[in-house]
Amino acid sequence: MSQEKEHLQAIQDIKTMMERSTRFSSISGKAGIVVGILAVIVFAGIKWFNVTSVASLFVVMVGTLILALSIGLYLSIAKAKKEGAAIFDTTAKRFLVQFFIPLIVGGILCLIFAYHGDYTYIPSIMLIFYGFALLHASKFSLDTIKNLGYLELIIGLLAAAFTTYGMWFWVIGFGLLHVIYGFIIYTKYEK
Amino acid sequence: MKNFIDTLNKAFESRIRLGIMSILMVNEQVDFTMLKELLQITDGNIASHISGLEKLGYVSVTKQFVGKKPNTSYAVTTTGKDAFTMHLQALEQLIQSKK
Repeated sequence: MSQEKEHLQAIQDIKTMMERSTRFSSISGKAGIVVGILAVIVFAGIKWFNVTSVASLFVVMVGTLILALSIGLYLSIAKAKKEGAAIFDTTAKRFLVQFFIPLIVGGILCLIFAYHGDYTYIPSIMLIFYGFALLHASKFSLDTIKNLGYLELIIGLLAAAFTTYGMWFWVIGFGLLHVIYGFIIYTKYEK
Repeated sequence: MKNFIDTLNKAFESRIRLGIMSILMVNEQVDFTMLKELLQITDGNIASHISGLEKLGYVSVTKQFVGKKPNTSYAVTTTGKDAFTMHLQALEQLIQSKK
């Protein structure tokens, strides 16, 4: 009997080592919630002050994105440190590289569109490339973010199809979904 | 029952070796520091287990310089992969046979 336990333990060890050496699991659920709320506030602000100039909308959106990424990174690093993730460097680096490749391409594409003075598809591009970034990086992190990636892709396509509601899809994708998934990650992995 | 136990590979009996192999199976290349951090054991301990696995032809060792620092990285060989997969299958069968 004790031998059987030993074998089960061995399998458990193997699984843990494989997981721990490949996945960056310190994604912060709290960061998701904070970022989501931030997006909703920005959206409310835009509606409240009735910002309609596309150029200023663009600036606000890019600013929000940068702020959101910083919050996400900061809270995730804090979480990793608290967990004492010794391998933070290797797995996090891999995750971040995978995450930022699609994101940077999408960002540049947005800038090119803005340069041409065409802001119509910018919410859609942001959502779609963010979706791909999540999908791409999910292999090196929590499985949950893969589903979030799929949803962002769908919402991104909808935003492209119904361009007049672009901002609404933007707030659903970056606001609502982040709050929901932040909460899911928080309850699933942090409690 | 006995034949299952026979197929268990003696080389993987130690938990450290099992850990080393698990990490190498899912990563293309792993350097010494990462192994140490993951397994949380001493340098000498890792080195001795690694050289054991290397002698069996399960692990390949690459030494190179990154800038001025020597850097040793490890990868699993095809033989090692096969041996580890067999070992896993044996473990699985053992557990299933006892159910």
